[in-house]
Amino acid sequence: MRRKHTAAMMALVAGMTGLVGVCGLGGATPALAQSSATRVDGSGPDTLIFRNGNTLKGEIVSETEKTVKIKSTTNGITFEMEYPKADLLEIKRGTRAPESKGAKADTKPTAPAAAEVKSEAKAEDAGTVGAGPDGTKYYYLSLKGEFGSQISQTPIRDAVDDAYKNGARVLIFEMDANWTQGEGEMTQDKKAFQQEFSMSRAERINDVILKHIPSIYGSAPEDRPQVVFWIKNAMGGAAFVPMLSCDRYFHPDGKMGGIGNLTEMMGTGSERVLEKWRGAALQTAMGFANWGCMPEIVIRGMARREQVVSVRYIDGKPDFFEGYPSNPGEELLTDSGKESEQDTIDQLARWQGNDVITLTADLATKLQLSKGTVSTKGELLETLGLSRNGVAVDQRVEKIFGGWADGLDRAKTRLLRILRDYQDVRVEGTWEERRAARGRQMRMLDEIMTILRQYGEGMLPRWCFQNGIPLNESGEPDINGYLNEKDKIKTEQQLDKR
Amino acid sequence: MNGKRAMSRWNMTRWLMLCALAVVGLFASPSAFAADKVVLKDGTVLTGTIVRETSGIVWIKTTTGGIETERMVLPDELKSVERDAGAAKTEAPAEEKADDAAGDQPANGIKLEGDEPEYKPGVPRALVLTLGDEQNGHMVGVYMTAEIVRRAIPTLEKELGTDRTGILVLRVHSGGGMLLELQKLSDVIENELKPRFRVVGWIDHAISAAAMTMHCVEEIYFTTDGEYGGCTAFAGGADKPVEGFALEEILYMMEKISARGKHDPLLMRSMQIQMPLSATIDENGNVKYFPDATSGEMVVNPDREVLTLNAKSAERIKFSSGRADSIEELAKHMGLPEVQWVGKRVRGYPWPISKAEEMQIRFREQTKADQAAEGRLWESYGRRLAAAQAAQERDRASFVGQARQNLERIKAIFRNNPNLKLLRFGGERQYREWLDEQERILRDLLK
Repeated sequence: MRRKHTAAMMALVAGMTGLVGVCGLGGATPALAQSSATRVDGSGPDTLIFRNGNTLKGEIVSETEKTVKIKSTTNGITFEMEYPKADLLEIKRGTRAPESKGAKADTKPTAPAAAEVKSEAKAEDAGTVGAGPDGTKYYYLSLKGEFGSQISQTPIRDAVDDAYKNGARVLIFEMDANWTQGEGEMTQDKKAFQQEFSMSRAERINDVILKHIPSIYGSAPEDRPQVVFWIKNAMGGAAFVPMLSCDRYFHPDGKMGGIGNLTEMMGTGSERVLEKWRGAALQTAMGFANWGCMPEIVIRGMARREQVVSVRYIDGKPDFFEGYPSNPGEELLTDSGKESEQDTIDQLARWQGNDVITLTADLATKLQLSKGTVSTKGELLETLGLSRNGVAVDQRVEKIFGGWADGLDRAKTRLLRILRDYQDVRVEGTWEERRAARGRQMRMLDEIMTILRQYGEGMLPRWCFQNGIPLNESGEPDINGYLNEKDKIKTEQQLDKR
Repeated sequence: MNGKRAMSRWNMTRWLMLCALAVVGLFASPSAFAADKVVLKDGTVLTGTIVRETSGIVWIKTTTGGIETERMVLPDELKSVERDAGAAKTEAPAEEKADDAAGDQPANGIKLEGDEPEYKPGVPRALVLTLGDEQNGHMVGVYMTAEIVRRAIPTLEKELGTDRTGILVLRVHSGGGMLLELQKLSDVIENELKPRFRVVGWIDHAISAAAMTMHCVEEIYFTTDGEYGGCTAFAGGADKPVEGFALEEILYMMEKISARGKHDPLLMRSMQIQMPLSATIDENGNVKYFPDATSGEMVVNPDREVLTLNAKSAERIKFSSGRADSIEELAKHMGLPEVQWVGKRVRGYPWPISKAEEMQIRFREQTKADQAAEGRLWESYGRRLAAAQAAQERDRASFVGQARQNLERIKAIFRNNPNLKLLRFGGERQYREWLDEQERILRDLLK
């Protein structure tokens, strides 16, 4: 008797939760182990018809024998979900162009839709196409906005995938990060004395360049595309990205630095432990700089305030050394920053301080850390020899970055609204009313989690903190807290008797 | 309608509904039709539904006394598997599945489908075994453990052979972790891998315990952005460095591990404490170290700093034998005119994925999912236990069943990665005591 009763109760719970699940964005559908019928017809978007009667329109982005992944939009928020085919009654496919080889890549929200891609090169040729008869194919990525928010690894990876699909052999990254603080109306430019050795986001973005690019293009040096940086603003975490390539150009107002607080940022404690962390962080930055022809002593001068670095020129080549100039022709780049050597406000206001090294266009050129100063994109293409013979294959790039930025904005707005609405749900009244209220709560939690899975990486810790969104150990929105909340509501519902 | 009759009708309706659901529940129960059998080496036969298999590890769902449990069986425990091909596979409740996607099942598990080439006889084989990765995790003792490396040895022998010509490339990506795991890892590499294979270290990111682990390897290569060092031991925070006798013990341990890797102990010492280091390379290419910043011709570690090497500095002092960012470059540095990389080519991976490597990736994926879910399962278990204790007798069994399901999933987490017991309980004994107590509580609730 007890056995049957247990099974009944468990089935009841499963049925209830299944019912809740289908309504939420992130919810799956009740599972029945039967094969699904698949139909190919119609026009417009693909449609999944679930066994419970629900339908979901969107674009099927991948499919296996047992599952189908669809990209869809609700409340202006794009999301991708994978569903077991067993849950589906039917798959209605809209008309579209044949799927390209590259479209099989694992992608996130802004991934190019197969139907939308207007490729200059056939996907089959991708990765092997160099400068063809019509010239070198290049892809221009304009990284604008807040570093870690609009400038984030997902749209960059999607753009790189698009570049590969279109046979681009030169990837040009324009780095123009907001060196600002605060949100909305409070936003203001950060100053020369503000330093932020913040590497975690740069590591993920750099992974796209160092790991993802070779994984799709091939790891042999001849397979990899040329990576070029054009620096307008690469301050703070953004400074670590253009360290990756020797092909580095500056805008006349370009700046690279703002990472000079490595010594202070680790806090207080045992000097031995702090030095361990400082050393490891510095050498991680050095790892990037090893790709980009930047000597260790320059990185030290950019990162550690107490580091003294000077330069002399031997046969026209810069020779950096630790310490103060003692001979004619030697120049101080950064002093100890202590006491009388501390930068003054008039120096800092003019970006002339030297407690740490900040690379400007002039300084970078002089130190041979820049290949040139160019004012416009056209001038850059001219310098790279692409203005006449190059072929731009970046038709989708604005859509990719714009889609990410817009989606992120909408996601943040929607998230705040759901969080407010969630607080307003009152679990009270009759049993049916209480159950309905809990159902609403769980659907809201599903939607919150879907948003965070899709766009959580673009939500900076500061914004999350201001809006009461819990963070995990990595400083990202913590989805587990919401899963836990949902489980708690489920238990409460089970305990709630009529 | 009087109240008594209405109540009676409601009760009857409810009872009928429950009976109907009981039938549905019975049919939905994974082991209602299932007849998969997993036979363990100790003679135990588990009958139920195999719900998952990867890298020789089998998860089987069984039902005992109406209570469903899921058991993970490790390759070491497994004798045989008998499958009932006709058994209908049932799915987990939809809601549970959706939550699992971000919880205790690996989310977005990497698809490791690809083609494996045919191998030519007489040509040395090599494979890349990753210790830690950025996507799943890399903490020494949690994602990088002696246990999972040891579990891979039989597979490594199949893939690389047993004639000692096989080349095992340990690709390290870890920011460090638990000190107590490093001796175990070092022992596995020294005593179990080195006698079988040519063991090569490929350093992508090896900080702290990760560098200390790899220090028993003689042949080291770096990626261009690789780094190695920062081996200062501390407990908890920056204000708690390991000091005194405990520090001396660690310094001594690393002197012995340095000897295994044929590295000068001064090098590791300057990675552990703020010891300046300089070096001179003689005309024969031999490196001599000095425990100060002035005696040698080149400064390896300045005053007051703790040493971390990068690809260039490691090469300069000949700690690294070269820089390689691809297996082709690595093979060139290793002096291999011809080599066969074992495994299947998988999109998104810069080297072939062998079965031993797949085991490591799956282990980390599972550990990541488990770590994410552990706290939630823990709280869920507590809630359901409390609910069972508060429930009336007729409802209690259901909550006990749910609590037991949580408990079984918690147990599966610790079976997959026994080191997690250390983090949660402090050790095996404490875990056992806790588990016995929970089993007793659940049993008593059903009496």
